[in-house]
Amino acid sequence: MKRSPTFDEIFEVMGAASVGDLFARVSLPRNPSPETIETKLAIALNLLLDDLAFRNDGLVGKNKELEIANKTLRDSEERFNVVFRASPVGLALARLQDGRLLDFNPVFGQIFGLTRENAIGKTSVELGMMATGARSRIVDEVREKGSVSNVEVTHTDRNGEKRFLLFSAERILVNDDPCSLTAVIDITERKQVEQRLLKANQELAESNKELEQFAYVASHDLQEPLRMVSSYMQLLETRYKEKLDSDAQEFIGFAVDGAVRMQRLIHDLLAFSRVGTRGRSPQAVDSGAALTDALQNLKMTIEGEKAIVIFDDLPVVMADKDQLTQVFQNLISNAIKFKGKRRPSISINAQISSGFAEFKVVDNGIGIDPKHAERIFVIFQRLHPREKYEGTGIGLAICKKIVERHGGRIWVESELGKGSTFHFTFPTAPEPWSADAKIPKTEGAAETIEDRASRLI
Amino acid sequence: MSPTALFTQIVILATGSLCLYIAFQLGKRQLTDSDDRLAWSAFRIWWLALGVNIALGTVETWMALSDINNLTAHIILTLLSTLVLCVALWGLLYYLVYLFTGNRFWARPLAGFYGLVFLSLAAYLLFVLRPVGVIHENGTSSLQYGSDAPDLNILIVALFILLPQILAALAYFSLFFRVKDRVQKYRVLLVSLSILIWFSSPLVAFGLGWSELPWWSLASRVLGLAAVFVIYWAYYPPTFIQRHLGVAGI
Repeated sequence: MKRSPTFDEIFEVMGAASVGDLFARVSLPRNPSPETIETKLAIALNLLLDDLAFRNDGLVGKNKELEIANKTLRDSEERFNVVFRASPVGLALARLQDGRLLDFNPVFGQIFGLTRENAIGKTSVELGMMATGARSRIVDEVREKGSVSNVEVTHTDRNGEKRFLLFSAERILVNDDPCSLTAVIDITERKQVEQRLLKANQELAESNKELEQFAYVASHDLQEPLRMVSSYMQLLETRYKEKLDSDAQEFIGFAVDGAVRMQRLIHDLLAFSRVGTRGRSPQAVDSGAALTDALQNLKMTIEGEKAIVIFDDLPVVMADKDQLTQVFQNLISNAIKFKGKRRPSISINAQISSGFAEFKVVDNGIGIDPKHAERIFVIFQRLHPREKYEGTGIGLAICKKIVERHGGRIWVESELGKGSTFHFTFPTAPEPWSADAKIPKTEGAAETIEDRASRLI
Repeated sequence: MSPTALFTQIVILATGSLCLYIAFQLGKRQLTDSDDRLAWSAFRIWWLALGVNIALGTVETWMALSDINNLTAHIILTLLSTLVLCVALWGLLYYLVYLFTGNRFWARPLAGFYGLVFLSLAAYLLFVLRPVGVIHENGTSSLQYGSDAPDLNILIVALFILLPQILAALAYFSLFFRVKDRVQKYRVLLVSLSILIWFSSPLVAFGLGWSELPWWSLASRVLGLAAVFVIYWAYYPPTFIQRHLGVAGI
């Protein structure tokens, strides 16, 4: 049995009904009796109360949802605030329309020397933060594209020091007002380090070039007086040998030997410096052909020592053919020179990986103590006394210089008494092999007529 | 054979042998650069071809002395001799051009040029002059032509063979003022002056009207031998030169 509505409920329903939110329709007979009206009204009121209760439940649910959303928003805002304030990157919020600062974090203030009291509400131009042109560029781009990233801007701080800043900005809406959220990083130190590095690199390159030129000129110009010393000493030896006592003859022998050795050193030094100055543009070269040339040049040595040389099909690489031949020649002649008790056996093969051909020259010679694996590639470094193995100790240094000039590397794996494996890499040639496949020529001193004359006259 | 002719032949043979010996000795120089090797080989080809050319001249003399009148053999010998001379001149010119430019590009155009010179000379000899017989005179032989066409050989030889060599030798001589090394100066001086005197002497003799004089034949041969000797000394100086000038051999 339905209860009768209370007075307050009737008023609530009537209030709602009066603004058109609630209504209930009941049909009455013609000339209804007061009882009928009362009954019908009671029914209508009950219907309205039910609807109201249902709506109330909905509102309670909505209220809970709103409370949760509100909390999420508050949390998010708090998190944003924490991130905004604690960020190591300078962050600022400004109106796009007039560029006035709405908010900024301490790092931003520190970068530009601003305090909240004197900066909020002012524009970056008013605050002298950056040149109008730079600011306009950033703002225009944010307006047009919605964001900018990593724009480098210079700024002179209050102490008059020039700072390098990296700007990124994103357009966002704050209370329907278009604003920009700007992130600024002070890269002054990084720039200074970069500039120092660049300068050091340039100085190093110049110094290297000068050294190379010096080595070339020194060795080139040393040849003439040395040749004279050597010629006259040899003349002295042949013409006056019988007139001199054995001591004098021995001394002359030492002098001639020294002069000959120095000539060899100068010759090798010149060859070493020419790797950089006379190298040609690398081209697609059949490394097998370069190896064949090297073997042809070493024909007498190979036959004399009865050495066995085995090689596989070798790849096409980007190289100066003469220099590649020189690398093979130096490594093979070393393998023969430093032979063990057995007949020299040398095998050469190559494999390709990551755009480089890795060559292996394996020998059965006396081997190298692994602790000397780096030292052997240093110019004029020798592991054995000159009396035992002749040479100036420049062959492997030339190999290293040639390989590095081509962007490759060279190393050795060896153990004493167990032979050595020399590895070196050269960039492979792009397919199809063509003469057009060139990489830039190494910068070096241009060769002169005098240089050619020194070899061909 | 007259004593003068015999002496001339001895001089020619000595010159040829010396040229071949120089070509052999120069081959001992080791060069690592392929462009350098090509230029140096061209220089050796010059000496080798000169030697071969002189050897062909000796064959011709032997044929004259033996009274061999085979026209085809004489024509082949003349053509062969011209070809070898063109090869020799290509070698010397390319060597000098490479020395100045450092570019191996010129090897082919120069080969083409001298190939053309040879073909022109051969065509002129065979189709314009038309050899019909062989004349033997004073131990030398020459072709008899069936045409009255002027013997342009002298002009062609002067223009395309002697002149480029003289210019090249002058250019080579200019290196004397550029190189600093005493040995290089010594070699440049000796080689360039020898080539200059050797190649310009026929032109000078022609200009002075000596070409037809009987003594010039021997004098020009002696001059050639002396030039080759001097060039040999440029690369292998005798001890007294080494001692006085402080220069060394290869």
